[in-house]
Formats: sequence, structure tokens, C-alpha cells
Amino acid sequence: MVEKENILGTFTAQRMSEDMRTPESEEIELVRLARSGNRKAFDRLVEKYHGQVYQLAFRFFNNKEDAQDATQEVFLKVYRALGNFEGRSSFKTWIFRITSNTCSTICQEKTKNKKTLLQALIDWFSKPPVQDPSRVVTEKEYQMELQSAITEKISKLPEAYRMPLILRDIEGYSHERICEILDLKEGTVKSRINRGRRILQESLESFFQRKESL
Amino acid sequence: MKCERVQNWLENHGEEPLSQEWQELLIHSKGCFDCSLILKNRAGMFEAMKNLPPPEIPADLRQKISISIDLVKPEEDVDVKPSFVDNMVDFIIKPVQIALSIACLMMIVSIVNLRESPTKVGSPANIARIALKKPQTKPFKKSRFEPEDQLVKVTREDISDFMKKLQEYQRMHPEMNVSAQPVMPGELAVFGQTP
Repeated sequence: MVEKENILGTFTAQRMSEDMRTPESEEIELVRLARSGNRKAFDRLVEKYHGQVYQLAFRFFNNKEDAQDATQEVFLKVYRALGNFEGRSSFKTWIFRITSNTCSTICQEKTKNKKTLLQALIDWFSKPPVQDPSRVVTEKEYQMELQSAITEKISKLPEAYRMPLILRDIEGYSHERICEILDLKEGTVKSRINRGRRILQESLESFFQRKESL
Repeated sequence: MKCERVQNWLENHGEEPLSQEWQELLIHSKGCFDCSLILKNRAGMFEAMKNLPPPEIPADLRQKISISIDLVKPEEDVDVKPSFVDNMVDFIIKPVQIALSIACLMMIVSIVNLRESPTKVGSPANIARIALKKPQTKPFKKSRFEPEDQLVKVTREDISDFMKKLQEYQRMHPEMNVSAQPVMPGELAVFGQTP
């Protein structure tokens, strides 16, 4: 008990910043403590990973509310399943796998529930107005619009292609890591990434045509 | 007709190491407007994705996560270590649980045996076995009223005493005197005698 308190005291005293990486051994110790029911250790893991989980969920949904719901759901699942974590993969890979599965589940549930007429009307009015192609824009404005369009189009991609594309082209993970996170074969991951890129590029055709006219 | 050579190659081999085929496609795209545009747009798309600004993390997200975990029911909190009292109760209850389990098991076994016994008797093999079995004759206990093996010596006095008592009895109970009553021929036939 005293030993645990000392370890926690050390962590609390250090309070490292978000982007500063905790050594792997410290993370293993945190996971071990969290598994034994230590809430402070679990809170440290939440502090470390909630930003990354939220970012992944936001890229997937392009919606703050859904991303928040998914993040909460992910950490709830992690808290409940921490006892089953065997440490065969890293904690980060494990938590990202849970994030991917949770996002897919939420997405499937959303598609099951058909939109009501009122919801469809609200969505239609809340959509940003279509830009006039003849409008003169600067290079910086164009880049911002392109990024905004990419974020939106990624969230509209078929679900199977979405997460592999996000993990590869936005988060920059290797194929091996993506295979581990998504629990898929390398060939499947590669083909999904390539197919997703093609669909995304074709959906951004109008933006590229504007670029040509600049 | 739009040329899709590069687009198709990227879809099938986009994540593979660059090969001789890719070099040939690059040479082709220099003279092909469609393919060069696709390559250019692909590069622009990658650049934009690489530089996507990170989303703003809601300030209350951690708090919300914490609240949702606090709301987890205690029985779902499987990872929490049992307290000293829990251990003690467990220590006391465990032997009782084992004893009860064994008792239940024995009861079930005996009930099953009871249910099975009639069917066993009813089986043809058992019926044959029972039929062939010799009846067991138990020796009867001698009654205390039964006469002894040795003959009792009766004297003349005893006989005359007995005859006196008999005559006295017949005199007191004339209805019991069979020889005095008339007997019908049919009645005697019952006893195997003919008049």
C-alpha cells in the first residue's frame, strides 16, 4: 500500500505535459496499478490518452458530440476490460483498437436509425453554403477550404475505408501498426487505404478544378 | 475518354514499394494530361491531410469521462480488491458452501438411484434371476405354548381329572355337545364321512 502511494506520489509530483512521452516502463506500472483498482493511476492514463482518442473519433465522425460520446464510451470500456488486458500489444494499440471498434459500432447504430423529417430539414439548413467557383480566393484560403472539405469527405467515406485512411494518412502509422490496431491482414489494410484514397480524391474533384482556375 | 492508368495503378499498388512499372507510369504521365493531373491532385491531397489542424479538445471532456466511470455500478467494478472483512466472510463461508455442495450432490445421486431401481427390477434379466432364486425359509421360533420334544407323562389321575372337567363343561354348555345333535347326511359328506 505504501509502495503504491509512493509511486503515485512520484507521478503526481512530475505531472508531465500532454505531449511529453511517459517511458514505457512507467506506463506498464500505471496499467498494473489501474488493473489492481487504483483510480488515480487510471486517471493518469485518461489524462495521457483522452486527447488522442478524441482526435481519432473526431476525424471519424467530423462531429464534436459524437466524438465526445465515443471517447467517453472508449474509456468506460477500457475501465471495465482493464482486467482482460494481457499486454500482448502496447496499451496505446489496445486503446486505439477499442476506439476503432467503438466508432464503427456508433456509426452502424446511427445508420440504422433513419433520420426523421425534422432532423433532415435541420441538417439541410445547417449545411455550409456552397462556394461560388468564380469567387477569387487566395492560396491560404484555398488550403483551408480544402482541409475543411477533406475532413468532411473523410467522415462521409464508407466505414470500412475510413479508419485505415485516417490512421495511415493523417496519423501516419505504419502498416504493421494499423494491422495490429484494426486486427486485419496487411493486404486488406493496403487495399482499403488505396480504395479510400481514390474515393476521397474523386470526391474532391471540384476543389482541384478551382485550384486550376486560380 | 479519360486516361486512368495512374489512378488504377495507385488503387492496386499504391502502398507497395516503387517498382519499374511505376517509373514507366511516371514517364507516361509526363505526356498524359489526365494522369499528370491525378498525380498532382493526389500530392495536394496528401499535403492537406498531413497538415490538418488537430481538433480542439473540449475542456470538460476529462471531467465527463470521470463522471461516466463514477457511475459504473459497484458490482461491475470487478478489479477492486476485496477488503479484509470480505476475505474473512469468504474464509468462513467457503467450507459451508463446499459441505452444502457435497450434500446436494449426494442427495441427487440417491434420488437418481431410487428412481432407477424399479426399472432395474423390471428388466428381463432381473425377472429371470428373481424367478430362479430359491425361496429362503427362515427357521421359526418355537412358541412358548408349543409342546416340548419330550413326551409328558400323564397319570390316571390327570385323565380322570380332565374327564371330570370335560363333563362339567358339557353340562354347563349343552349347545357345544356335537354328538347329541342330529346330523344330516349332507353335512357329514362335507367332512368326508358317510352315515
